[in-house]
Amino acid sequence: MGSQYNSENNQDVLNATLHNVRNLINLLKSIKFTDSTVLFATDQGFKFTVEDGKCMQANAFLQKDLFDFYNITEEFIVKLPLKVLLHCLLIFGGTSSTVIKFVYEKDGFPLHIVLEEPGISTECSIRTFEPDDLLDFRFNGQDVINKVIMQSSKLKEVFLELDATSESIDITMSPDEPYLRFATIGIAASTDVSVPKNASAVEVFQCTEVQTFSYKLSFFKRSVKALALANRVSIRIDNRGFLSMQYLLKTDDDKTSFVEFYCAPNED
Amino acid sequence: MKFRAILNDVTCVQHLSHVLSALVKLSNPWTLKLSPNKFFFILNQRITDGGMTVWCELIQTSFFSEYAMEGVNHEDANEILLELQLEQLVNVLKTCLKGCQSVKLKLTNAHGPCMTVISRNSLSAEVCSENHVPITVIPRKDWKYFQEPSSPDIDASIYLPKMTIFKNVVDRMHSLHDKIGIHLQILSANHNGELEVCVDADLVTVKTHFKNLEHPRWSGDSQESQTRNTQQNREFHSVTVDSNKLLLFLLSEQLSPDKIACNIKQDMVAHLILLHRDLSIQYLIPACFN
Repeated sequence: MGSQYNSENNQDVLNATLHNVRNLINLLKSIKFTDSTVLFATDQGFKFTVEDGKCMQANAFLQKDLFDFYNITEEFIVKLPLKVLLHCLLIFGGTSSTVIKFVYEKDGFPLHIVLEEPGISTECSIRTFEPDDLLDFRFNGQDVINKVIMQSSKLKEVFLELDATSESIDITMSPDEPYLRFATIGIAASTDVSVPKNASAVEVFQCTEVQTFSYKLSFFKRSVKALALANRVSIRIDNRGFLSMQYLLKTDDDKTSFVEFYCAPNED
Repeated sequence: MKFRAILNDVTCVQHLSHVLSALVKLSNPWTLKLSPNKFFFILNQRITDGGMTVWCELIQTSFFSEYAMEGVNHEDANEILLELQLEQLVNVLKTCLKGCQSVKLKLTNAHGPCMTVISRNSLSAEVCSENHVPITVIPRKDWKYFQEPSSPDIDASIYLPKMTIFKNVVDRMHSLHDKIGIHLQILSANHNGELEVCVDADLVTVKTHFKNLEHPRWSGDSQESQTRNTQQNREFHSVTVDSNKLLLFLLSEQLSPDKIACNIKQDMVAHLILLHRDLSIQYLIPACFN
């Protein structure tokens, strides 16, 4: 087959291969709430960013060590149509036997993707766009006041308890009771759920001060897909009240990739 | 003009209603042609309605335990052609599945011309239900519009790959288009076991390449294949079709066909032939130009 991007070309900015498309599909599905995503291709791997309403941001990471081959000569940032990208990745139904290859020739060119199954191959060339300005949440590890890492099953239980009609959700993190508390005020009732420090699902509990902040409940609804796929979740609040939720996803080869959501607190 | 046929047990009724349900998804109404050994469902759209032609051939012995018909004229026209709302017939057959065992179909003149469906309990022979599906008899002068599509002088012929994957590919490509307008896909095949499906949308171009596929052997094309050289074998012949029509045909996957052949007449027509133990469906999708 005479394909112009089947052979590796040393001139290409990026050449990368994954032997299993499923992990990438899961990552992208968990941030699929806008039409486009910004791809950061760096020495560390891929980062896909989406934003909603200038108060939240989600980043899906596919680290370099998850690739079978990863060669980048120059870091680049492009905007891609997210739904189109997912349709392409799912062209063979998203089975784990699909091998995928990425080629980016140079700035302004389409992103080429080749998917392969025994006896079948698909070549996609996806248009790339200039990226929009993205928010910088300046969320640094050293500014984190409170942090809890727990099994995602526990957080799923918590979310089921909460009132979906509520506009916002209050999160309290504290070194003493109630430790970690989620509260909603809906049309019919107010609900609150606490997770004690010594619950079996809690793996790390590092809370130094009492903090209570209010966030949009829609933010949490956005992360439901990531939660469904995750094994563990890390919840952090920094000194400004900014919230970071990191969902750790196990891949088919027992490696970990993650999706991170940032959200600014509501201003009262 | 007489017709009478019996579906002996529930399995036969199920089989027929399963096949007819698949056809209903393609179109409604259908023209039914009855002949002594086979019966046919025919769709012959005008070019303004999409220009699709479907020719579905069912072997009567695979469905009926008794089958008797007398055509318009015994000598030269031992056939009956009629139009019916197939959906009505399917619904009636489905209700027959509940409780009753054998089903008799016959042409009657109950309330105007009808296909009458009588279901019986096979033990007591008691009539469970009697339904009439109205029909319109097609006069002999119009029979010429319902001839078997002649196989066009094709450029390439290939068996489609495994249906689950092929359908998924066509489906996903269809979704890459914007909501409005006709969604086009290009089907290409050569004589070297290769088939390509392409789509060229605003945001993306996608091409899927299948290899190591088999080629059907149609009577009369053996000589030609010997004279082709390697280069001619690798040359692709393509046709651009409306992907909605392609997807519609792929719904017939539910009949679990043995094989589906795809014949391409370059820039003219895609002629798909579904092969099954008890039936065959020919489906002609005219080329679109953009």
